[in-house]
Amino acid sequence: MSGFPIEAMSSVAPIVELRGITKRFGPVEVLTDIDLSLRSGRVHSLAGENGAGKSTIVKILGGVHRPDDGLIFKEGEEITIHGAAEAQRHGIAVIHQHPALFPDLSVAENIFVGRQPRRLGRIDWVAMRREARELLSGLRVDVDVRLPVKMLGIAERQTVEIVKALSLRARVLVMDEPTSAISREEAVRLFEIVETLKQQGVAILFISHFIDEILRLGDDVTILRSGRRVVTSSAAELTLESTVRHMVGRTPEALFPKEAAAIGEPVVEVRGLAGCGFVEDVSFTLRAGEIVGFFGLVGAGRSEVAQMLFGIEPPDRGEVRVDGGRARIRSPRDAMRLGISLLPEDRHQQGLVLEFPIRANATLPILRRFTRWLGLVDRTREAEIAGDYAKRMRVVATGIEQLVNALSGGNQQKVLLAKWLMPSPRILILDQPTRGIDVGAKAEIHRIISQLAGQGMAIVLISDDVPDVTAMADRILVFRSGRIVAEFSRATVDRGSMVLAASHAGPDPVAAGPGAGRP
Amino acid sequence: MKRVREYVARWEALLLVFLIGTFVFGAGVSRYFWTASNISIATASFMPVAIVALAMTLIIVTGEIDISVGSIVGLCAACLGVCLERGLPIGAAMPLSLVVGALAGLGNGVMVAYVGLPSLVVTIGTLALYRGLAQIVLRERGVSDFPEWYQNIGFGTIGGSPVPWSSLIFAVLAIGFAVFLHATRGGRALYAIGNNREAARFSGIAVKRGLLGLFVTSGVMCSVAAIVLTAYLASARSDTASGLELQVITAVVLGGVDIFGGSGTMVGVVIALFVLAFVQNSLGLAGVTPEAQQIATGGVLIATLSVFGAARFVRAHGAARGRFRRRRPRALATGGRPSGGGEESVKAHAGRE
Amino acid sequence: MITSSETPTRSRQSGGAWGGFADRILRVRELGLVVVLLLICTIVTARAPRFLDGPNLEQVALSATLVCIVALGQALVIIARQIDLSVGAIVAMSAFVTASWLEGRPDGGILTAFLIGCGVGAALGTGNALLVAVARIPAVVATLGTLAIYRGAAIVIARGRQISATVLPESYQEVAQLHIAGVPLLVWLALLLTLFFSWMARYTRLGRNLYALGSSPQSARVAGISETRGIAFVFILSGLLCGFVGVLWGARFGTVDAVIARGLNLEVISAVVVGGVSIFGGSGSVYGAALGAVIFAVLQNGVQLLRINQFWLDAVVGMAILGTVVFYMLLARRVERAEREWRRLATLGRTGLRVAADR
Repeated sequence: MSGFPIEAMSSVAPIVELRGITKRFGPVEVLTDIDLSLRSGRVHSLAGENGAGKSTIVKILGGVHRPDDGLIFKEGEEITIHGAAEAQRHGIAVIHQHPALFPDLSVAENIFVGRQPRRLGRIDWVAMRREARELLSGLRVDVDVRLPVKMLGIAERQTVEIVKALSLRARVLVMDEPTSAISREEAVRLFEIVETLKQQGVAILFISHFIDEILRLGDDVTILRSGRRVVTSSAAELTLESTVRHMVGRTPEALFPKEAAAIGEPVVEVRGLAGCGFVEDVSFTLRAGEIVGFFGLVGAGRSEVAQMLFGIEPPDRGEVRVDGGRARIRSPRDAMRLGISLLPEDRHQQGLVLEFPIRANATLPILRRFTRWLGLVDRTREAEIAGDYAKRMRVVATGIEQLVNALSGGNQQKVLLAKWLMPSPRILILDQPTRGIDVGAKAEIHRIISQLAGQGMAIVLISDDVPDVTAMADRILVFRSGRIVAEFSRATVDRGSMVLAASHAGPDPVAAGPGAGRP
Repeated sequence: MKRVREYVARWEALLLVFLIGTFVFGAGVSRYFWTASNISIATASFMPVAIVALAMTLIIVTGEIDISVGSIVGLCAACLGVCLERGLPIGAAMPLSLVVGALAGLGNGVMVAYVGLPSLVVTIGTLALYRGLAQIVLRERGVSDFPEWYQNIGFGTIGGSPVPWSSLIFAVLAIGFAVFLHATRGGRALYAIGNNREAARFSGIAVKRGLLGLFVTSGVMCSVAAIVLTAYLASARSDTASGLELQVITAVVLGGVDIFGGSGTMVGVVIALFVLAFVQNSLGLAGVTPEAQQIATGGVLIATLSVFGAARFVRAHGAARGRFRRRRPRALATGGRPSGGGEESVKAHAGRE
Repeated sequence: MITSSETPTRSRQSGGAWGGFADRILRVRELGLVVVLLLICTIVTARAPRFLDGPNLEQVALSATLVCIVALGQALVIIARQIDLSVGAIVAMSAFVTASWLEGRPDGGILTAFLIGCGVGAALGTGNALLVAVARIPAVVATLGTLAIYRGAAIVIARGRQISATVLPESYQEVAQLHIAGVPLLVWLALLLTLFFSWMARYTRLGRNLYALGSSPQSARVAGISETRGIAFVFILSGLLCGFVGVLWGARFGTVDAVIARGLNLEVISAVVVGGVSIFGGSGSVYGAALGAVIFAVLQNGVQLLRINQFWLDAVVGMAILGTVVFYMLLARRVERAEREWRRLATLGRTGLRVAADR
């Protein structure tokens, strides 16, 4: 796969250019020799799977990280970016997915906070509102500038952030996955704003998981894979299929494919599940010994379905049957009683109590089992069983009394897995069990999952990692915008079409703009 | 948790040193200090604070706070007083006061756990409200005709010994609370809630119900304290125990309970209670008025918080420096022993939030 | 890309209407307060016409004055997401120190007295500022501690003594008696301070930074607003105003001892909260807090005039704090939800139209 020569793309000199950027975290190289140019009036899209290095590039441009190697140029001059203030001085602004604004202050004030226009020593509110209105109408945005920001939706907040950046004379806008938290309709609106920004000569780095957006919005597209630039090309020369191919790459060896296991009777049947505001009409069946993969982008509804099944968020509608009987799951305790375990997505926020030792973390859901009269905990048995599970999970630690915040990510994940295997579940939901952990730990966790399925456990594996899902799952359900949009079996799965189903809205009228119409 | 316990144990050892220091100071101030009757009085006078502090420890461990305790004690005292005025036997008034305390705690708990308001705001409001209710029922009257046996709860000693009855009540409660906090499922749940509320919920812990129960418990403890206090003072007024929250919170914080929740031990709090009790007693013997003693209490509160604040700062910055050393110590759980650098790395990270 | 010019105009009209509505709801805080105030006045007057007598109104105004000035500082503290429980103790300390300086100085300079009082207040406020802004101790516990220390210190200094009107210079007491255009000087002072701090909160960057800090400390950090400086400022200012009130206190009541202003803390907090300042920080207005103080003074006076049990007052304070907080929380939730839903639908409609035009 050869890249296209950058010089061929545009004759405009770049405002900001990265040359040979390399970034390491400890021994891990997350970016290798990245070149990227951002030109006035052009949108440069950045595509890549999770962990490809997109957000590291954002952080380097925003002054959060410093590259270990390579140079950054601004209009031909070499610069360094230390911290957000310096990025701002160089005219680079990062628009985050969830902008850091002041919810109680008005739109106008959020734009001008700390530098409100003054007249005769007092803040000139009329002028401030007028300027804010002008800036907004320059982007053809219609928001009452007196409204407090807490009353705006996320898309509008992003707009406020953009306008704020423009008022700070930003010439380069880095948009970090702006569309993953907003609706398709709002995204269309955002693209119009981007179009206007282009006309004003702003250079834009646009990052998204949605491939149709990448192609539709970008003038140039750079595709990353594992921290390397695979290709940089003009968007017109790429198709959905070729982009996906570049992103996914050659099929690597599966880390630990699932062993064949006898698939038994249906354990869980879900019909028409809806809730959490956007999940609609989710139906599936889960059998004993089966691993069902939930594939989809962040915010597609995978985790929400898992949390509804576990009683964290009660569903609005729909039926859940466990072993044929109708189940009412209104709290995690209800779910645990039915034999359901959920390994949550966010290890640090939802999974573990970091200040607890391995033992206390692992036994937290089943402490009831070690209690004698008056609720006293039988420490000896607790330690015995916790130690037993830790050993089985091959947790690397100084002992079960070690605090989990001193463990590596992979070992924390193993503790979390032990915690949720202790209740001896028959239904195990794993939400991103291998995110952010090293290869060795990943293989171990896959080995354990495979074993569990072999013992007849019904498993839901949620992931946005393609090789993970294809290697482990017997069936794959693809989620997009709160619905199941495709199903693949182990035999028929094709990774390209899987990624496409998750990230492309298809013949949906709203998304069928000019970009999606491209062959 | 072992290492944390070691760390805390150091604080508790320090508290014991403080306690000894207090004894030395007291003995220096007055020859009367080391007499059985003085020790007995010093203990008895501090028991209401001590009883309330037990429940407050649990509340602060979960990261909440209850500033309305003084007012709940006042309300329960007023309730006892009114019952006595109306000729109700004190034996019937006591359970009634317990119910009133529980209801007051329930009010706080519902607002915190189910309405979702910060406990600080709620209990500032009820601080005024419950005191106001006490004033409505008792106005400016003082009720003092408590029967002899009742007064003995607060002031009397067991048999011929100098041990006050109230300290027996406290001892039983303290053991109960300590066992609950450190040895039961419920106690473990409180620490989990204090450290990471969401993870606690994801682990099947009923967080809301737990908080509700905690505030009700606090209300009941306040009402027990009201019984002991009215018995000790042999009077009930609407302004009984005003400002109690200061002493209670000071004791809990001095005992090593993190004001942000998640850590602390009952042993530390109990030692801290005795330190405070004897500091106040020796100041009293030195002729310092009770009003002026609150300078000492406030000073202890501020000093302790400053020390813990500084420690947190140092640990946080130590952790930042030690980040890249973290991966080095590794030993297999399967039979391995802790390797040399382990402890250091744990300490460096214990302070991370 | 298609851009349509007619759709925004259409939605601006409707969006404006709804925006106006939401705006009104928020403004209703102060407007509603005026209504409540008038309502209470009407009820009290109907039952006790004496309420409207000149001397009585003056008493109401005077007692509102002192609470009001302290509430100005507390309002800014709460807007910046902090709380100051030590205000009563600072007032007492300042009042006593000032009075004991004036004691036996029949020709003592009033200006110096004010300087001393304000100095004491600012110094004690600086103590709070150091603990909260620098040592990062949560404001509640820190000021609970300083409350005890300041009050204790006042008691120690006073040694149970009471400084009465007879030993204080007459010029000092005249401060409270002075009238300008038939209105007591104290009331003018309070009015002036209210206007000034309302102006400061709304029309200076410093004031706006306090709102920003209270609204989102994280965002403030990103925006380069110093948290330490902002928090220190509000505590020192609150102390300063308390010190000022301490001097006025002695002038108004004549007698000063160490235990004055006992219930002031909660009265001030509830005046601020009832005045529409969000206890979660970031919103509300300074003149709202002043209005809250006036409401309380009227209520207190009404209770006296109507011979209602005086002892209800504390309970009312508590109910006011809790009731207002819950009320505003529910109101804010509802308004936000309605507004967001409306905006979502509006966006949907707009883009739908545009996409249709697109084809």
